[in-house]
Amino acid sequence: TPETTCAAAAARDRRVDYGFCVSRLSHHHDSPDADTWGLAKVAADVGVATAGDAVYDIKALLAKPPPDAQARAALEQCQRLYDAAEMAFAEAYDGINRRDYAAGKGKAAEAAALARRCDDAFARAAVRPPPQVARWGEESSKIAVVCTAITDLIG
Amino acid sequence: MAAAAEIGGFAAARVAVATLRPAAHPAPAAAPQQPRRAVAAQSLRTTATEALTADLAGTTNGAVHARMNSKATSEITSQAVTANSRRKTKIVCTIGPSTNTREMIWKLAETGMNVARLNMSHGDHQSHQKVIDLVKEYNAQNTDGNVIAIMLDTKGPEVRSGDVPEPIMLKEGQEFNFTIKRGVSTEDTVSVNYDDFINDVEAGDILLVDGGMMSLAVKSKTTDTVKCKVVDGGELKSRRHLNVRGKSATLPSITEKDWEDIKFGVENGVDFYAVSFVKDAKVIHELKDYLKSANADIHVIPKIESADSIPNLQSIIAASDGAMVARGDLGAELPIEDVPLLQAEIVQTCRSMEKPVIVATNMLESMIDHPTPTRAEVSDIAIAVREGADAIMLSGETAHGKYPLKAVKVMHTVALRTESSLYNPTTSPSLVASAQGLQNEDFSPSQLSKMFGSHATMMANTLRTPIIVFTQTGSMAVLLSHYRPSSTLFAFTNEERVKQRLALYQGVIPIHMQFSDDAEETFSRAISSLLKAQYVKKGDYVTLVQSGVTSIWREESTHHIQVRKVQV
Repeated sequence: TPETTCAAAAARDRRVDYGFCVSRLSHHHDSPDADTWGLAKVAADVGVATAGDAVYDIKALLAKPPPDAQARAALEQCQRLYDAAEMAFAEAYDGINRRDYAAGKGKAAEAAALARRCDDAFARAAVRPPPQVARWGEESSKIAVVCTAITDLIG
Repeated sequence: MAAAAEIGGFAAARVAVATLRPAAHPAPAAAPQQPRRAVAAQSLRTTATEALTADLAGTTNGAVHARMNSKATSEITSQAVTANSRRKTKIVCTIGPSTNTREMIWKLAETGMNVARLNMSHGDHQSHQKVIDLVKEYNAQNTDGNVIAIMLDTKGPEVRSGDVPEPIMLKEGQEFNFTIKRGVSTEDTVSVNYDDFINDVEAGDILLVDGGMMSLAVKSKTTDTVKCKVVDGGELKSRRHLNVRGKSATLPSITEKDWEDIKFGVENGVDFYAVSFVKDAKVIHELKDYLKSANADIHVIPKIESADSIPNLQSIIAASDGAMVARGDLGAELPIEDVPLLQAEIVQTCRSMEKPVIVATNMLESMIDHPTPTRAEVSDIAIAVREGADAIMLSGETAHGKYPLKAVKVMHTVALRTESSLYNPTTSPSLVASAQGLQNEDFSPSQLSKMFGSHATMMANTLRTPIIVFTQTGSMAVLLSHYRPSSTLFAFTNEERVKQRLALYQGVIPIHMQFSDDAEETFSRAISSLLKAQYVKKGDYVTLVQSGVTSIWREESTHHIQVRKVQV
C-alpha cells in the first residue's frame, strides 16, 4: 500500500516526506493494486503530472506577461525547463518499467535538477518566483526523492 | 422514486463542490449578476475566483460556492431527458482509391467520418492534394456541423510486406513476387506497404526479410511487381521487414521522403501527423522542432507499432500530442496475445496524460471484401470504445475496400450503441487524476482547471445537460473531454486551428465563433448557433463552463460554472 511503502521509503531515506508521499501516491489511479515496482512507477507518473501542471501554470502567467522583462524571461526559461523535466520523469517511468532501475533513478534526479534550475533562473533575475512556480519546484524535488527511494526498495 | 434519486444525485454533486471550500480562506460569494440579454441564467451557479496579479506577487483564492433555488431544482429534475444520439468516439477514415472523390468524401462525412487520414505510403502529392482540397471545401460549407480534421500519415523508414492469412513457406529456388497492389496475398505474391518500392529495387539486388532470416534475389520487375527467386527460404508471415542488402543500412528516424511529405503537410496546413515506426522520443522532438521553426501549428501523433517503442512508451507519449495504437504491426512484432494488453496500456497511458488516443488496424478488415462485419470485429470496436479511446480508425476498409460507407456506418452504429451502455448520470469514470480536496493550500491555475473540469462534468452528468465551453487554446475542452462527460461537449472557439484539432477528441463538437467583449452576447450567439443546428431546443438546460489558461472577458482568471436554461 502507499502507506506501508512510503513508510519504508522514509525509513530508508530521511529526505522522503511521508505525508506528501502518501497523499500524492494515494490519489493515483494505479496505486490501489500496485506493488512496490508499481508504486515506483506511480511516483514517476506523478512527477510527469507535476511538471505538466507547472508548464500549465507558467503558460497561465505568461498569458498576462509581467512587466518586468527579467521575470518574463525567467518564466519562459522555466517553461522550457519544466517541459524537459516532464520528459525526464516520463523517461524515469520507462526506465523503471524496463526494470532498468539505475536509469530510472538517474532520470528522476535529472528532473529534479531541471526544476531547481528554474529557481536559479529567478534568483539570477533577482526576482522572487511566483508562489505556484516555487511550489511546483518543491513538489518536483520531493516526488523525485520519493521515486528514487521507492525504486531502491524494489527487489 | 426517480425524481428522488435525481435529487439525491444532485445533492452529492453539491456536497462535492462544498468540500472544495478552503478553510483558511472563507471569502464571501459575489452577488450573482443578472443577465442583460434574452438568454437568462437560472439559479445554479458555482464560482471560484483567482486573481493573477501583474507583479507576480501571488494569488488570492476565493471560495467555491454552489447556490440554487427550489424552482430551478424542480424544473431541472423534471426536464425530459432525450436520448443523446450523437456519437462521442471519433472515426478516422483512410482516404484512398475507393473514396477520394468529392461524392464519396461528402458521403463519408455524412455517415460519420471525423478525421480524414492520408496514407503517404501510397499515392502521390497530387492525389493527396486533391483530397485535402475537397476536405477543406467540405469544412467551408459546413461551419456549424461536422468538422473534418486532416491527418497525414508518414511512411516511415521501414518497408513491410502485407498481411497474409497464413504463413507462406518459401523454398530455396522458388519464384516469389512482391507487388505494390494492395491487399494481395497468394501462394507466390504478396503486397508491400510502399508504392515506390518498385523504384527502390533493381534486378540483381538481394532482398532481406527480417534482416536476413530469408533472402530473395530480384530477377526482374514490371510496373507494379518485383519478381524474385528465393535464395534462403523460410516462413513468410504478415508484415515482415524488407530491406535491400547494402542500401539503407542505417535507417534515419525520418526519411528524405518523410521530410518531403511533412513539408507538404505544412504547406497545406494539415491538423495532425501520424508518425510511423517511432521507437523513442527523439524523433518526436526532431519533428516538433522543425514544426516550430516552420511556425506550423500541427500536432504529432506517434504510431505505436514496433517492439522498440514499448519500452519507451511513457516518454514517447509525453513528448507527443497523442498516440495511435497500430495493432497490425504490433501483432507482427510481438506475441499476438500481447496486443490486447498493450492496447489497454497505451490507451490508459494516453488518458492519464490527457492526450488523445486512436485505436487502429484490422477493426473491420473483413469489410474490405464483405458487406457485413464479423461478430469479433464488432466486439473489437466495442472494446476500444469501452476502454475510452478518443478515436477508432479504418484503413483498407475505406481506402480500397468495396464497402467503405457500410464500414463507417457499422463503426458509427457500434460505437454509439456501446457508448449508450457506458454512461450513467452520477458517475464519471476517469483516468485523469481526481481533483484533490486541498486544504490550507493555495490553488494554482492547473489545479483549479482540473477541479472545475471534474465538477462541471459531475454537474452535467447529474443534471443530464450538455456542456458548453468557450476556449481560445482548446485546453479546457481537452480537459473536459478527458473526464468523459456523458453528454455532448460543445466547444466554441475563435481559433480555426483549434476547431480543427478538437475534431479528434472524444465527445467534443467544435464550433468556430468570434467572441464578443460581452459575455452574455457571446453566450446568446452560442445558444443561437446550437438552436439553429438543432443541438439543443428551447427549455433545455446547459452547463456553461468559463475557465482556462486565458480568461475571456475578464482581467482576472475566473472559473465559473453555471447551469442555464435555453430561452429565446
